[in-house]
Amino acid sequence: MFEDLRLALPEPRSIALQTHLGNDIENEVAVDPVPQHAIDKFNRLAGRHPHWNVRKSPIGVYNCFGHVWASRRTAVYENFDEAVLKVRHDDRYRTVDWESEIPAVDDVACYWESLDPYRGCNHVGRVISVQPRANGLPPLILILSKWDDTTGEVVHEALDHPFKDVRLEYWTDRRPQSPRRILV
Amino acid sequence: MTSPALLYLATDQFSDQAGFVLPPGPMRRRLLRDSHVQMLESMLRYDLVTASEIREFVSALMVDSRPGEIFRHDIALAALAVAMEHWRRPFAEEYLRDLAGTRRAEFRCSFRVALECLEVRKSFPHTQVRTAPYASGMTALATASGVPRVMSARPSLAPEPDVPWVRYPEVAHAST
Repeated sequence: MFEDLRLALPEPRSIALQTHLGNDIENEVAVDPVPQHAIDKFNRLAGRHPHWNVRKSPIGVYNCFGHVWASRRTAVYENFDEAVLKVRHDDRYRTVDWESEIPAVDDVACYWESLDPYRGCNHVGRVISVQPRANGLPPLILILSKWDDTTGEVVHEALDHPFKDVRLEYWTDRRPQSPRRILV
Repeated sequence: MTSPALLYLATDQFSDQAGFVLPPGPMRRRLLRDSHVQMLESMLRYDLVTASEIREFVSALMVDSRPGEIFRHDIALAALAVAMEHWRRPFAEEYLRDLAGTRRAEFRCSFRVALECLEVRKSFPHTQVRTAPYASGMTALATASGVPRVMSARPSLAPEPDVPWVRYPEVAHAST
């Protein structure tokens, strides 16, 4: 049914992409430019979230993984959970513990179906703003996200996302603060 | 004539309902939860949508395929793959294998979801078919009468057994 496609369409392209420890990450540069039907879809879905702020109009090339960890050069689709966890391990990310600290700018927001064990990573985005709030409310955290390989980049409040039944966790590459430094 | 359930997959409404493209595993699970995909799955099971209809529908969609452009109906093909995941027909296997084999960036969602569906299909329990050799004499006996042997439930000719407890009046055994 789809036999002719392999002959008619070009081979996908990938680039060298590795973690800090030198482990390869399978990737594929997404198709660009984005066709009009995908731009229209992005605009329709973004229209349902009035508080989203579009930083960049729809573009191909990269998806959320590529945005966060590959400098907007490629997309990662294959074994997504494994790739995300490989970066977490090799690049020495750790989970932000809300008991003792709050996320900071440039931490990573990860949206998972399950956190323990990690399963079904839906999305990763970058924290770009953490604004304290009064009356004991948790800080307002803004994320920069690229929802998929055809969308634009969007600034949104961490919980104002298009997913269902996901859990949000923040990861950071900052070293844990020692108790002494906290006291000082 | 193509079923309206199939035609709906090609609409912007369905594309919006499916949302942005997720990594293959979560995308498959999201489509599995989609009410329209679930309905389509039932229709396939009850032969309300046939293989030839799907072939025709997919051929019509493929007209929109262009090199270097994300396929407009990529999510529709992925949704069909998910709907066919449990369909025990050779066509379902053919569709999933063909789609999984495309491996082109233009079909980045559908072929990966098809791969996920194939993985899931592999884990299904299969009916094991065994053949047992019978002695030639037994075969002759079995076919001697010329009447096909059918196993069926027959009403028993014996009188109904007398079951004494049936006649016992109801009593409460709970102690106070």
